[in-house]
Amino acid sequence: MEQVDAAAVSRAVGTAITECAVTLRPDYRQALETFASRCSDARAKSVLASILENAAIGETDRVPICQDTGSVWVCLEAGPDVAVPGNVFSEVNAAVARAYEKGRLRMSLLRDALFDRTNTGDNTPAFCEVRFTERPGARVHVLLKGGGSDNASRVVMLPPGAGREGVRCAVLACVREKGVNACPPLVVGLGVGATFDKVGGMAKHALLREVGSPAANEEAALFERELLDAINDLAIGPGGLGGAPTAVAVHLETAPCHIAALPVAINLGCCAMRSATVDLL
Amino acid sequence: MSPAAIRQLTDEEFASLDFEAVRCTTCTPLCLGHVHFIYRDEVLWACHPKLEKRKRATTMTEPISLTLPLSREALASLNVGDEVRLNGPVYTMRDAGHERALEHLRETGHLPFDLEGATLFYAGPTPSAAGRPLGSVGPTTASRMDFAAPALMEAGIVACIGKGERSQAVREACERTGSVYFCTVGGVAALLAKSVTESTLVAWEDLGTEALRRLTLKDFPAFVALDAHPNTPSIYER
Repeated sequence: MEQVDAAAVSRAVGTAITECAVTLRPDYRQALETFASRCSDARAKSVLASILENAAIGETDRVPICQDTGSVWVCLEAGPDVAVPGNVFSEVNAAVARAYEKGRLRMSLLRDALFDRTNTGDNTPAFCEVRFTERPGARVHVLLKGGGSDNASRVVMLPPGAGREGVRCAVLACVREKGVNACPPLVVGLGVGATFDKVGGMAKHALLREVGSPAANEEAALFERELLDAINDLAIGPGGLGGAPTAVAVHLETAPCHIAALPVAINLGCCAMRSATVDLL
Repeated sequence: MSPAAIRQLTDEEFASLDFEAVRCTTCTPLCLGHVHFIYRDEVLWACHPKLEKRKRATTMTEPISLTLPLSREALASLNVGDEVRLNGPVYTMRDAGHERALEHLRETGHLPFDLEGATLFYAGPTPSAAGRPLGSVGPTTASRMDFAAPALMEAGIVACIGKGERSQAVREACERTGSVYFCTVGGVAALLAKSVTESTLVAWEDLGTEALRRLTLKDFPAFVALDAHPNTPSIYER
């Protein structure tokens, strides 16, 4: 049995944070460039140009592309026959603290949401999970998630009778009411199924999928396209200032669920999309 | 404008309309939106699945250069949708700072640190980098400051910079006090930091990025999102 090395995981997370903070995710950037080249609306065109110029400044000057350098979300994925050491995430937290200090990133984490809203001073803790998968090897996903776009996200427990139309309405209501706060053009991460606690994670994982890549199955891909068209009909536009696109992609993950349930989670990804995946084994 | 009738528009009627959609805020989540429009001399309020598709394309005008602190005349001359370039001092204040400013106002009856006449920037910057006073800085969601904004405007804040829609109470406060809400684009903070020439800590250092800082702006790009005139829709509704 192979073992994931805790030091290797924390090194990978530290490097990923340093790079992600100053880099617009390449697949997202590519999608924006495509939209920008065929954009006809004057203001939308100028906002898209600003987002692309911002990405270029981040790259050359090595400064954060967004002042909200996020909370750090980490998912360690381990295949069969891969052991995970017990203390891996305490080393990850140490790497987060070092990367935020050294990279001159913003410290945005508080000690307790309700009882102690003082800054931890080093952007820890990271929000970490382990996933055991069928895929061999091991890898770590790192996502820097801004507060504004997470605030604009939601979980809705629909009655099963609401069906596909109910899911569509929930997505459109979320984007219509909160999309402007999430810094569009968006990537809409959508989880449908599982349980109340798991569905939010599915929506977050959906954001990791390469923008422009097809969904797992044809039905999902069709629904994603339908949702993307409906979202772009809202014409919230880049920066919320009208025109198109409001979103560059909808990424759907579905799962089994209870006979009584239709859990839906919508996690909005902003125009400073920052994530990376590092192979460990 | 009160609705004279509510019904679903036909596809033909919808296609023939030339209107600006007004986003529905009062209906059920299943409704895709409402619009006010005049049809055969009657004000109707109707639904159509594609209603929120804004039909008018935006246009870009020459940006208006403004010097801070803003005069009453300058504030009164601004209209929603105007593109502006801001030059001069602004003060960063976010969630925690608003709580403190509001508390100070309640206790003393005036704003802390002589902020009368000032413009607030809802932002929490990253530390200095690349030879600039701030590595990156950009707007945070303005609606989180709605709980305090009307009181601060009554006490002398004349403008604020953020992103996203505001509450009805803030709209009314803008109109009542002659204040303006500017929005700027979120997620382009490396670009915006190039328009900040100075940053000085004023107070609340314990709040870290949420501390009160005085920034000097040079050609900082923004739009008028809410103006001081009565009943004008915000930039996000246009």
